[in-house]
Amino acid sequence: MKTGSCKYIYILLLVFIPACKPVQTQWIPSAFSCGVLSTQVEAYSNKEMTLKIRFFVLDKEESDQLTKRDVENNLSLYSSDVDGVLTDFKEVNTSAAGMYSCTVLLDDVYNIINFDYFRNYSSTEIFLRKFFKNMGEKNSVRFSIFKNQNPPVTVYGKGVTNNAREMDLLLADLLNNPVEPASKFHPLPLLQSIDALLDTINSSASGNNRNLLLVYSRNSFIKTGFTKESIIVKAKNLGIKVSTIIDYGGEYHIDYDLSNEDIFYKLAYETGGFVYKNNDALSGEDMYILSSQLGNIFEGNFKCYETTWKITPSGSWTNAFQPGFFTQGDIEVELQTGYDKKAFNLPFGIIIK
Amino acid sequence: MRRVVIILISILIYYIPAFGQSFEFGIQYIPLQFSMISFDQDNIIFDDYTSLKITEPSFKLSVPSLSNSGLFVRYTSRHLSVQSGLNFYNNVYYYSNKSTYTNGTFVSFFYSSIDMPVYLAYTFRSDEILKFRILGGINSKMFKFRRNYYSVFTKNFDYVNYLEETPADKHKRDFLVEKLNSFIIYSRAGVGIQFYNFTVDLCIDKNLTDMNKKFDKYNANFKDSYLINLILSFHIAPKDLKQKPNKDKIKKE
Repeated sequence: MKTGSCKYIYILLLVFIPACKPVQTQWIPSAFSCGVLSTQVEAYSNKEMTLKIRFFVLDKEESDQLTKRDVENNLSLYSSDVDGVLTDFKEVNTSAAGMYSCTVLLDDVYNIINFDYFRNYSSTEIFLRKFFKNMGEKNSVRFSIFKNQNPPVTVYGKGVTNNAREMDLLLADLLNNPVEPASKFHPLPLLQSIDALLDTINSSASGNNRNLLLVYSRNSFIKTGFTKESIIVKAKNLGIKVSTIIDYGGEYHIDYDLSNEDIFYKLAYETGGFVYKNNDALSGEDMYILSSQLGNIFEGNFKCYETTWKITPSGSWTNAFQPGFFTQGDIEVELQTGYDKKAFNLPFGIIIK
Repeated sequence: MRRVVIILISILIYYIPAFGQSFEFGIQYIPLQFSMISFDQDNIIFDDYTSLKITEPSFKLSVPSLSNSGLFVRYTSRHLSVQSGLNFYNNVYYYSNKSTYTNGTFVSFFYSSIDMPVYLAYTFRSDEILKFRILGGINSKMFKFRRNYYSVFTKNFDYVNYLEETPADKHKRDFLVEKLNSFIIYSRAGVGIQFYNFTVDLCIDKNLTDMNKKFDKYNANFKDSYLINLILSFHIAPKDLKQKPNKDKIKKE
């Protein structure tokens, strides 16, 4: 080869090699948390319903490096009953609610669910402690447990407190001295417990942003003496937001029986709360990620995503869109870039008042 | 504490010169140790949001590596002696049952320190080959080494790694070691026997000063710590190294 030709080749290499960059792939952190914050029926008729869904995505690193495009490009719908089109996807902030007080209500499976026998810890404990420690000085919290006993609810602490550490040793004592929970065939007095706790919150917590957070692992409960509607009306009248974390991680729920879940969605809808269903019940990892952002969700001005879903009914839903209509559905969020992919089912309720 | 030290030094100054002087140097090794630690609460909360239930305090046996060793110097009279030295010591404490629901392995935390004991010993049968002694004094634990044990004789033999099964356990261990004070004074009492240049002592140490770096109102704090050590010593005295004059030869001359 002539020397002159080599010279040109060297020049070409010098020009092109720096221009070559390794393919940039965005890694998605390997653990996420997704949940639906609210669903709002914008319009409905016999032939169509327009539903606005707000949901959030949290990543394990808690820095939310996901971009709007990552979420938008991978959003799909799944529902066995209907078909529809997702439109008008955008990033929004929830309205600011200010300082909050939160009373957590646990059921008697609190220390069993997601218990890691090898490492000897309960994910519920981590969830609560992390939530309490991230709450900041201006907010206040307390926790309570309800069981099959009379009265069913035990409220811990002297009142709502803004010092999360006051509850550390108490929480540890309760969680490290487990009591065998009632079986799934012995439902708990959930409605009675919510009713009692609403009174407690009303008398002991002040402010406009009062929250009851129910962490529930069962899907059947005793209704005697109370109706779902009476509880919903009471919570709404007292101005207490009721949110529910459904954590079916153990054996205390009856498989495929969702008939009682409507109260959680209705309570959230009427009071301004939300329902989060733990998708990763075995490890509780989603719960850990959620716990660090829970305070931000309560305070408001929380970044989330919103999309509009136009539903065309068919089959059993034909002519079903009437006041009083309730159903549960799922949307699937699939996050995928580079080498990582994960899909989430986000269950939510549709209520037509 | 200052008064105790002054009293000990006074005893040292008064008694030792009166009965003659003798220095001994030696090496020590602690092949067996029992430890017990107690807390002021029933549960300890870690900074990774988990907690562990603290079991009832009881003595647990540890068999340390060769790294539990050191040097000592002893200043003796006929019956009384004062001893000090520097030891590298592996402090191992068991504080929780690993599993809440089953009897699992105990969770431990450990660290190494430089110990400087100073104590008086009274020897019975001091003219016999087999001597008995009782001892009392203090042991100061200084510094905290979190991992790897460097023996006086061998290097880096870490025997307790098998106890650490998960990163979570290591995190808990580091958390507890961080809570510890890096300077703790223990009282020491014990008994021993001496046979020629070998000494076997059985000592019990109890902390006199606070083990906590900082008291935490909302968490468990260290309360009492007991250490029972079996100490093997070998000493030589400089006077033994001097060549004895040949008396027969001197007589002939």
